[in-house]
Amino acid sequence: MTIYNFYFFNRNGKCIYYKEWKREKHSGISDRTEEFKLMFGMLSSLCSFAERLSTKEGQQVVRHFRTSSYKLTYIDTPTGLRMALNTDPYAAGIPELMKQIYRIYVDTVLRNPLLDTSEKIESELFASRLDQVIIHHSAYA
Amino acid sequence: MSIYRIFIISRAGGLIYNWEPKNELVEIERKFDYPLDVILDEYDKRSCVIFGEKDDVKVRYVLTAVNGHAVSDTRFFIDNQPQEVLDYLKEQNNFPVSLRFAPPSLSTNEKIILSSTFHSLYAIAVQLSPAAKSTGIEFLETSQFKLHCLQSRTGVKFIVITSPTASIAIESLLNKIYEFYADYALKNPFHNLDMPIRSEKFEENLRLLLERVEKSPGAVTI
Repeated sequence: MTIYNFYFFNRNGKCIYYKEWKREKHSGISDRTEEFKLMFGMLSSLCSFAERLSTKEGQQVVRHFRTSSYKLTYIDTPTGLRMALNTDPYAAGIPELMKQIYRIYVDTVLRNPLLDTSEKIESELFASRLDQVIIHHSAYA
Repeated sequence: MSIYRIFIISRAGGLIYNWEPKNELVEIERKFDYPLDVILDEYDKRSCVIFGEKDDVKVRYVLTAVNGHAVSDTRFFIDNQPQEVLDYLKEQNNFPVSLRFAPPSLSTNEKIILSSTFHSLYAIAVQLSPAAKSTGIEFLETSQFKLHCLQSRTGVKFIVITSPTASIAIESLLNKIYEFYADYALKNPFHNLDMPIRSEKFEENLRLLLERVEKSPGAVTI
């Protein structure tokens, strides 16, 4: 069981936080920001793909996709924030973990009136608390 | 039906086969007064409801007829005079008007676009993989459907879309479709890899297979 990496995008598509733990392979793109753009592009086309494919009524929420060696769990908020967490394919309890991460973000970043929320998250408290929940999660070991 | 759709995508990303259950679209006819309660807009060359729901008319429903005149694209004809639907519905003296709506469906064009979108998403998922030696998307879950994909060694993708609650042995279903593809399409010496699959035997066997799957959701046997 592993947790690979975590992407956090704001509503303009900017990656405001990125962290990797046990990433084995890199995308082969030397510029990190280019990789973030590719990831954001993939997530937004995945959502519009799902939206168009389904002809059923009701809200369309993309939950996760799985490949042979990893699983990407996706969450977005009504305010346009998007989070993606890569884990191994059979990790359990990841959506709950992501909600927890969102709560950490609210507590440490949004509630701080001095921080500009459209910029990269520089908060050390956010980083350390995020590390805490990831490392103590059962899927991390 | 717990199986919503089946797509087969060639290695170049083109849609070569698609299947969907045959069900009659129930159209809804309603009388509307000025001003119109639902908001329509042109979307992919069709007039769709984009905002406001009334009675059974829901968002994404497609306008198919105005006062009994069939709408094609975004136009309809009164005494051979073409009328733009959206302009017609702005005029107050055209009301009350009777509009017919159909539930959303995918046009062939949209299916082709969706398959090539999936083809690229699959490739990007490989590139962005944090783990070594990953395949592309094999399973996608959303609140409204589950998508399962099998890519053959030659790069042909078999995609089955099911309801979110379906409990079908998808693995064996996909392998069985692959087998049919190999048996009835590939063994035909005149079959071109990038051309749509046109084989009666393929269709017939697929239909029987799906009937069997719907009846007994367990493992698919020969």
